[in-house]
Amino acid sequence: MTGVVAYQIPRNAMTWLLVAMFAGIIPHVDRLPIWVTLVCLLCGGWRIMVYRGRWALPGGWLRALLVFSGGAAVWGHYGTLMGPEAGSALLLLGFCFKLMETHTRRDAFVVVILGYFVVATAFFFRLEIVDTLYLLLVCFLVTAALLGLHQSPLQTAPRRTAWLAARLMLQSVPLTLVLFLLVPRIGPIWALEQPSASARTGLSDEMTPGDIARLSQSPALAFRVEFEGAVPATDQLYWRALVLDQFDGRTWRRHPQQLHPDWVVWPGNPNPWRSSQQALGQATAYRVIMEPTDKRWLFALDLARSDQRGIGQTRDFRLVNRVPVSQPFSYRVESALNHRLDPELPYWLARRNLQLPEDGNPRSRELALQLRQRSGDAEELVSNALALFRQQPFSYTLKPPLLSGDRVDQFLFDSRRGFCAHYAGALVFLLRAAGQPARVVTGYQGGEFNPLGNYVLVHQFDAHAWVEVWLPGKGWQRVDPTAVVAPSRVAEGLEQAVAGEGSFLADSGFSPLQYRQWAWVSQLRLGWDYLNFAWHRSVLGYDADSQRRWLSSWLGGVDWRRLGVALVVAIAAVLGVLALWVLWRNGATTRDPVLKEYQRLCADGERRGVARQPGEAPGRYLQRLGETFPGQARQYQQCARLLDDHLYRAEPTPGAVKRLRRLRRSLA
Amino acid sequence: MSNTPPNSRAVDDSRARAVSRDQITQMVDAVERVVLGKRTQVRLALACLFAGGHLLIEDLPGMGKTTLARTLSTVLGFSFKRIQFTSDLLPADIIGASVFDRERGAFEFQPGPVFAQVVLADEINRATPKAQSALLEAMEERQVSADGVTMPLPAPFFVIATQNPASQAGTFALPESQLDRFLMRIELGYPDQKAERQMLMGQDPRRFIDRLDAVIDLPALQRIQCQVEQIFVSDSLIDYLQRLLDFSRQSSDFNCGLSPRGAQALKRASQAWALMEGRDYVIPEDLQRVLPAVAEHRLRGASDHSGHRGVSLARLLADAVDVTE
Repeated sequence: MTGVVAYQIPRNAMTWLLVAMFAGIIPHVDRLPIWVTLVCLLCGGWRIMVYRGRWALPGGWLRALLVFSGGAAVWGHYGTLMGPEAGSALLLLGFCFKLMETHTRRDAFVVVILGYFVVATAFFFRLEIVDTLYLLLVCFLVTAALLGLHQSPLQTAPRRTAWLAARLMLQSVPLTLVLFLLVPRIGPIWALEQPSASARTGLSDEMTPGDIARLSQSPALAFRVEFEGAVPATDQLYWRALVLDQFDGRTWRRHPQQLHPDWVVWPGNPNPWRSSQQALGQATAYRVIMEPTDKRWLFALDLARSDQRGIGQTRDFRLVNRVPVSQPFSYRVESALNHRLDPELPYWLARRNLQLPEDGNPRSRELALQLRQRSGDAEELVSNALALFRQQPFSYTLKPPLLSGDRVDQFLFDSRRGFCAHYAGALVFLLRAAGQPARVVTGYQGGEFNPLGNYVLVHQFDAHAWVEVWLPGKGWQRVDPTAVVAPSRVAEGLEQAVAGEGSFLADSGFSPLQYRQWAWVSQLRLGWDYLNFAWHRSVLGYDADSQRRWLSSWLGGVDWRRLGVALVVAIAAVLGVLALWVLWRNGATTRDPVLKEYQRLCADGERRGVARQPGEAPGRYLQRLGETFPGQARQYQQCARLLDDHLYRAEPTPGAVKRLRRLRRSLA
Repeated sequence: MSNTPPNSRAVDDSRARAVSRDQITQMVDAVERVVLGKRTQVRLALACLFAGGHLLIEDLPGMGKTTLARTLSTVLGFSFKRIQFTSDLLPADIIGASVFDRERGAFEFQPGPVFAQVVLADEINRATPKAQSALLEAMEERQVSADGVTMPLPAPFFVIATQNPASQAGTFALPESQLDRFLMRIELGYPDQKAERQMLMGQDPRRFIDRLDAVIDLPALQRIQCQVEQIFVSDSLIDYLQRLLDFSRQSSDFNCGLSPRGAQALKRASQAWALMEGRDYVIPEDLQRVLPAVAEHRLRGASDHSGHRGVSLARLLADAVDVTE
């Protein structure tokens, strides 16, 4: 160390940098391993102690050790240095380490640039409206630090810097909007490996009734739906996501073939099972804006069809996305609520939907045979089976007893308490045992209507399981045994269904959904959700498709040339307005009419080749003009006297403006 | 005063100003007879006096610093003391000391040379900081404390200090805090050819100093100082002054901007200059005229460690800051 520190980062800039660092770490904290946060806080604390003059900056060896061990630790934790997760951890560490060794101006600039990157990487993981506002705040802090670096060390008023930074940010808003709206949305040039399924709450691809003693419900949002027409009745809203058609006596699963590429047909390709689906009547169109699930399956009412690229239809008439949904995702669907599916059931499909374990649950099988014998045809079989649930003392609960061994037997004959998964599983078992093809479908049922934005909110606690049974001539028909046991579950939602039990959202005491009985809480919650909805739809959902639609409505067709012209014109307009504003602010105009006249005089003088220097007083300048144009020296002298009198003398002369104007006109 | 007609006061004022202007012209002429060809510096020095500030004259040896200071004090006709600053000067040599009086059997305070209306501190940067600060304290407070007794200094109290540029060997540069207490710092520079020839051909002008008469008396000076305070400073001029201050504080060319004391000094000095120009209001030219003398020694460039770039900074201020908004 050379003892003499030639350059010191201005206090002002240092304060802003430190604040920006702490603020920049916060959005990453919940995702990063705890030690990264701790190291960052340590670095920040160290830097503060240096700033206060208590500690020294760390020496070269310590810095090298920190950098290498930091890199090694990230590698050890993630097994890679690539990808958004490990990359952002590395970036954050680098940010803090760099701040700690910052003592030259150049270092400080590097830290500022890193700060902007830290903000940008946070957007990989957070896109909600609050997150965005917060990250804008961090962006503002980093900008303030950047400004502080350019200010005199004597400028120690942080408020002044803040005000300047805020103005800069505000001035950038119009250009940001233009770029956001008009820059062509092309696919990403580089693909980012998205963080894979960390534990997100949501639907599972398995169903094991009997293992869960207490169904936990999450108030988190699953997706929102905006209908283009009227919203169908709540008991029509069965959002299909998965078909579980394999049962091993304990768990319902998907058949392995469902994961095979042939199971899906993509738009543009010939649909081999087109003949198996017949839409009857009008289609209902709507847009689903879903939260990330990290799964490929999508939610839709049957019979669903989407023309969006990357969305395919499966053999069991569900919609899937080509890649896991790791970002908020929106898609448009048309559903024919009235339909006929698989009027002729292929043999292989029938066999699959009759599959049962070799043995087990003898009492249920026995019951199924009795039902079969009692019923004339398939439809009667179904209604008899449902009647069973209605007549026997079955009850709907979120706290069912645990089951083991012959679970279906236990449920149907002993416990008789359970939630949708129990009923759906048991009914499919009975139907299959009676020789009728049937399957379990899971997804969401119902939803909450938000009158503010005319859309439906579906929460995680709306998750549901029901049954589809194949009837000859009619194809697959939806049957919901839960609706028989607890009609309110389907008609009014989960809350009503378990009202007696009081178990609704028992785990999430702080969720505003708990307080639905208070109207204003509901209002507030729905209002807030509407804001989020609008954010998702208009900002996050502004993809290539919506851009094309929006632009065509404005420009009457989109091609590269029109887009280019629109972009250039819009940017020029924004910059022009800003430039005019700056001009207007910085001089061309003033409130004082005498000064205005003087400014016109200066403009005239400049046109005549004698420009005013900034530091030139009016008297001096007009004298110079008089010397350049000796014929008019007298008039210029008069102007100078008038100006001096008005601007600097105790008693301004009345009529100065008029006389000045007259003089100016005589001069011009 | 309320029953006098509104105009009569203005007429009185302007008549009084005319009298003052005559006296000022006389003073300038008198000083110019000794210090040849330095009219601007002489006027600045007088403006400094009228604004009630202290003056620092900085230049190389032999440029006439002491002559100017002595002439000024003679023309003023006030009690005058001169302190030659040397490296072994002690505060007591400036302020005075208590001496035991054998007859009365008590200590008696013997006032030092600082108890005068005009004090010439010659070569102030040759003394140690300890001695310097004794004087500089008196300059700011206009009183001295010795043996626990605080004694006021005579009024007016005007310090003219001279110094060699700090990079000369054997000097103790005045720190910024003390430099700030001088209202003005002026440099004399070499005389022009004509003035120098006149000096070489004729007799030594210094001989005239003793023959000069006092041009001004205490009431006259107090009147002038009072008039300086009444010189009108318009909003437009204050705006300009604030833009100057703002620029010096914001621009990255400056290490430190002008202090509020510096701002006040600028305002008062330009008022005094306006009076000397015979105006009852300040115009930007007045401000620009006194700006180098008032600001140069208070400014320091951002990458300037020797403290010698104040000159270009003051010029930058005058050139870059817009006079009108």
